[in-house]
Amino acid sequence: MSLRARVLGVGLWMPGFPNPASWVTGGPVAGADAPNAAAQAKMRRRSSLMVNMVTDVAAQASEQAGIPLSRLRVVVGSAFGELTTLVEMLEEREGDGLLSPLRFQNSVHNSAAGQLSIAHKNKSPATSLAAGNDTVAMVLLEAMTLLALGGDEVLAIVADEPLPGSICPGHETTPVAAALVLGQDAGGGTGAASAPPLAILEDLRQVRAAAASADRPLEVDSPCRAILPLISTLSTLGLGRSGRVAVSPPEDLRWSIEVRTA
Amino acid sequence: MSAAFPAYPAYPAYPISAYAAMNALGTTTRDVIASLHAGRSGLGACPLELPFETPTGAVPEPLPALPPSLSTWDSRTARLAVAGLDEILPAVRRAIARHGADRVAMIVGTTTAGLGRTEDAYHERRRTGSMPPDYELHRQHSFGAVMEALRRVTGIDGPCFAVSTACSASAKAVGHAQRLLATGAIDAALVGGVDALSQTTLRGFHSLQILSPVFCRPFSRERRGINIGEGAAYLLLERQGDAAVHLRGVGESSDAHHMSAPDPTGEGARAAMAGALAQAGVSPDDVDYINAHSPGTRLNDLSEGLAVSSLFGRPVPVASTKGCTGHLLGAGGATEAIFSIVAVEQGWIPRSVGADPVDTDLGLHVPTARMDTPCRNVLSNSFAFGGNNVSLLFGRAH
Repeated sequence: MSLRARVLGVGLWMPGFPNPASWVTGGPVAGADAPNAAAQAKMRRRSSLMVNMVTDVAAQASEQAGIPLSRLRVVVGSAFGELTTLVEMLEEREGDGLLSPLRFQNSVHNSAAGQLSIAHKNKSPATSLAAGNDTVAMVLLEAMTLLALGGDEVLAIVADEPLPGSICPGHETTPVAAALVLGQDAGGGTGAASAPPLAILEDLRQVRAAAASADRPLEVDSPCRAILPLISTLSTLGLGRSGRVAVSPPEDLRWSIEVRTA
Repeated sequence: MSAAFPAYPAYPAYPISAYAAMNALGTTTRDVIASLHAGRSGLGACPLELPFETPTGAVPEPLPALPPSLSTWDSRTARLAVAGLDEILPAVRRAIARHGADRVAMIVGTTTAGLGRTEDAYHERRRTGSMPPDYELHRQHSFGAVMEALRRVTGIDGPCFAVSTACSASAKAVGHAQRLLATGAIDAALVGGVDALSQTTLRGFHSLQILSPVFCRPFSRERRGINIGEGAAYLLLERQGDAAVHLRGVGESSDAHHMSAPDPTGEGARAAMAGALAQAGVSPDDVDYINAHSPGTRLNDLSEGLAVSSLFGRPVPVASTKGCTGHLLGAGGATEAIFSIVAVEQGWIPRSVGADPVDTDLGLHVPTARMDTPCRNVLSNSFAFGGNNVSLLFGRAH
């Protein structure tokens, strides 16, 4: 059974890059230093940066796909999860030793997936996974596996907060979040997608490092940075073109995926 | 099955070629199963210093150190993960030899990853002003770190990731593996779960006011909350094999209700169980035992009780093993999957330790003594923060 999916919507947020177009055109957008507040309307106040980023990119991708967030199966990937919340809890413990119950319940790795589900009354299955630098690849694998077996469209999200300097001194990273709405290659699913597919993804596999192309040097340091070449390719792919894009960092074995026009 | 539930594609059943568990009941699978069979509890005094009382299910010491080649990955979680692997490693290596390292996946559930190591390091930072020189976030804390240590021990080269959906994580891992097998992406998967006791987890559940100051009593009218445990558990799933017990179905759902409290209607739990049965084409009448999620809170017992009653409509035996092991969080789903497999394999249902006197308002058949009876199919439930529900169905090979 081949793994193949249609890309129906894309979302991206990094400081200065509030959407995929801003990243592709190359210039940071002045003032875009926080995720879109409008997307947070249904979420709890004082959510973590992780939840706010995920909410923003999920809204972008679902809007482009024309499928409401109440109907999408959800796969979230993050190498570190709710790391800022964890450090806040470590600080609390050093105080009177008691933790905030709200902070604790929102510290789990699947907090973003859970809060999205609650906010949009989405009872579809949701998962939350981590694979270090392979996190982007494993999220794509799970999303495309779900689609290969049938069912509704899948919202595939990757997100990581900056590493807190208090527990990881001297290693500054950039917060990155991105989302793809993926649908079955042969149609099907909810049938709710209102926009034509942006591209087809197929043939996700591990290859020796040299085999992957469309990989330009990236200054962004984040476990999720491997999503950026894919977003660039999705935005710039010419008609009838295809290309293999690396979706994990350069190591001996790396994951890559074929992208072609729909 | 109710038309309100989503249609599940029919998947083949996959044999469970091997399994291994380590937790408060013992450091070998044989000891763990023997203790469960005898109805013993592994709960005892908490080894961590806390400002409140609560029993825990700690793995008996000494816990072996990591091999020197993995010492930079050191955390209690990594030690549990690697030590728990010992018994199943020969079967994993045989699977790699049969299928190739890149055709074997490794998917492990964990909620804490190396949290305990980070707690210790952060405490030292408060005392000395800097994190310890041998502390490294990527290798000792991150979810990927435990996976990397396991990858190095096993030699697995296929898809490899941690699942972290809180207390359903390692049940969810079984579902991920089932799908990868169904698409043909892999031929075998080592799935499992691991979590270690940590200050943050214990204090966090205490803050939610659901941690019991005494031994937990799932399904009992005298319940006072949950106890936390630790452990590691693994199952080897293969595309083909002559194992006695197969994974027959996986059902998943979201409550969409609350981050830390179950939907009181039990709708999400019911959907997960119904999904697992539908996927396998098994009627509720053909299920002989339900390994319940019940960790010992009233809200969970009410929700899960409603879900079971409404789906089954008959007194199917329902037991919780958390009175023996404590709530193993990310390791719970895989551990209880093994208990469910053993029920099918050996023909007995464990007593629900702590349940007597049973909360009869639940309307459930909760065994307070072991039942020696054949089990054709067993459901194992795992429900989690975020309203994340998973139900696994294990049954005899056909």
